[in-house]
Amino acid sequence: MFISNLEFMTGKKVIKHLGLVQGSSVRAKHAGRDIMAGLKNLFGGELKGYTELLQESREEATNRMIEQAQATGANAILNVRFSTSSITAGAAEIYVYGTAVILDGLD
Amino acid sequence: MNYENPHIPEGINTSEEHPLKNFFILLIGSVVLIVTLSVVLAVSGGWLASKIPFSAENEIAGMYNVDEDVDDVNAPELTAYLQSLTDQISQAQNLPDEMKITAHYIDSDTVNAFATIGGHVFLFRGLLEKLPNENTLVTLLSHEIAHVKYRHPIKSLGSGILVGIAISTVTGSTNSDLLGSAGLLSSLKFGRDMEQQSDEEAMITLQALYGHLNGGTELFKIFQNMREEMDIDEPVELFSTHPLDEDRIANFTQVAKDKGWLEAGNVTPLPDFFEAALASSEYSDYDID
Amino acid sequence: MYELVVTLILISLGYFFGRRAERKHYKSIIAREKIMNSLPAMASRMPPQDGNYDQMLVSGSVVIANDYFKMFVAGLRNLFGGQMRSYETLLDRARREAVLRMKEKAKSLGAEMVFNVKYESSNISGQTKKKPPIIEVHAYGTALRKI
Repeated sequence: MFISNLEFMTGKKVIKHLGLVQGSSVRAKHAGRDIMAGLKNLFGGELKGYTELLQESREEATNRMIEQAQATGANAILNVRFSTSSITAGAAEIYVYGTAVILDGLD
Repeated sequence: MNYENPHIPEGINTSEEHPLKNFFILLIGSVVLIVTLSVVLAVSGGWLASKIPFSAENEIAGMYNVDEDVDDVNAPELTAYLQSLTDQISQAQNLPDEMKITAHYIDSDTVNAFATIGGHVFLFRGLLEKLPNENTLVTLLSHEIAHVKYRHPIKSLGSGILVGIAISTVTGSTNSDLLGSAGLLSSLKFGRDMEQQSDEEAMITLQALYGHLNGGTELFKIFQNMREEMDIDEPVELFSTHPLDEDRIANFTQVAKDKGWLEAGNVTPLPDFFEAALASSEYSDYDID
Repeated sequence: MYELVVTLILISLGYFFGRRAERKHYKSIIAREKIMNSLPAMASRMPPQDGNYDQMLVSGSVVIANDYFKMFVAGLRNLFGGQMRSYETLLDRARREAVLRMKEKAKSLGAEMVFNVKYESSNISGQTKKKPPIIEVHAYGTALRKI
């Protein structure tokens, strides 16, 4: 699956548009991490646990989007956008969406 | 423009799993987690608190103004009598010198008595009125003094504070009232093992002071009768920190048998002024009004 | 004890009504999506170059609240961390509903397709942590009508 946040793939023609596909994932961090983050807030620095958590969540959302695109028979997703929103204290949603297309001459 | 809108199957962005399954797994998991965590915190809190020297405990207790809540001044004779018994018992229990126990009298119908940090022991009129003789009063006082001797109030306060901090950290609520809510006059909850330890210490004291244990079980019978009168169902044993009254009586008899101590003997009556002092202090409130 | 009973009642009420409402909503979403299938919506910004179009900004939004059961499960989930399944269906429904509303608006204007669709979601519940999440999902894009 070819994924890009450009409108097109250079040198390839869009044969068919297949509409919006999207993936989302809601994850919560566990209480232990919350406490560690509270401590870290005193000294600053990267919250590795959170970085990993959001990264995992983003991967999951992307995989879900790809799954949707495969179900439509597309071979590429263009104009992909990510958004993150906080749902409730301690939980965040990662949302990714794009246009599923069939590109000419792509495996 | 070539366009098609194929059907996207359901269940990619959501999971098919039944929500109740998830719910029960989480529920059981959290109960286990919370119980383990509170037990660990309570034990370590109690252990840490027992390392606090008694003088420091006195200072913590000094933050509260005890005199405001008690009625010692309304019944000076009675308070002096309770204090003299307390001093005798303290000596019998070999309390360290710095551990000074103060007996307080509270003019209230509540059938209760408790010990708290700083060596303060509170006795309510409601309970004193029900005592048949001095031996039972000594049992009660010895039990409460034994709590102080084994540092139960500070241990229980320590556990409570540590668990409280943990809860407020997890739930995110800012409970600045941690120490305040566990005030001197709120009776602290002691574990069952603590109650049993104090019961046994009270028996040793009775034996030392009177040479027999008569009058001891009367105390538990008072609580038992009261529950029956008020028609309170005894709480399920497992969830109650206080051992059931029957169990306490049985344990009492058992220990007496094991040690070969007599359960029979002449009881010492309460002094003549005792009942009168209780009655008069009850009406002193109206006099002031 | 009393509080526990109230909580249990709220959880079961939340479960039964929440689940019923969710089923009903999904049914309606799926039925309406079929109708709206003829109107394409795309994240792409490049409209077709095969003619002149009128451009109109269209949007659809929905504000959703959570039932007590989901909130409770989410609260427990917060202890352990991990995937919050109970919120996934909620957000899925909200997003699809928002797009449907946007498409319905576009259709009422006589448009043939919607380009450059974007989503925006925000939590509009109060500041205190205790408050249940109230989430707005807003979908917007440019509707194209052939001249």
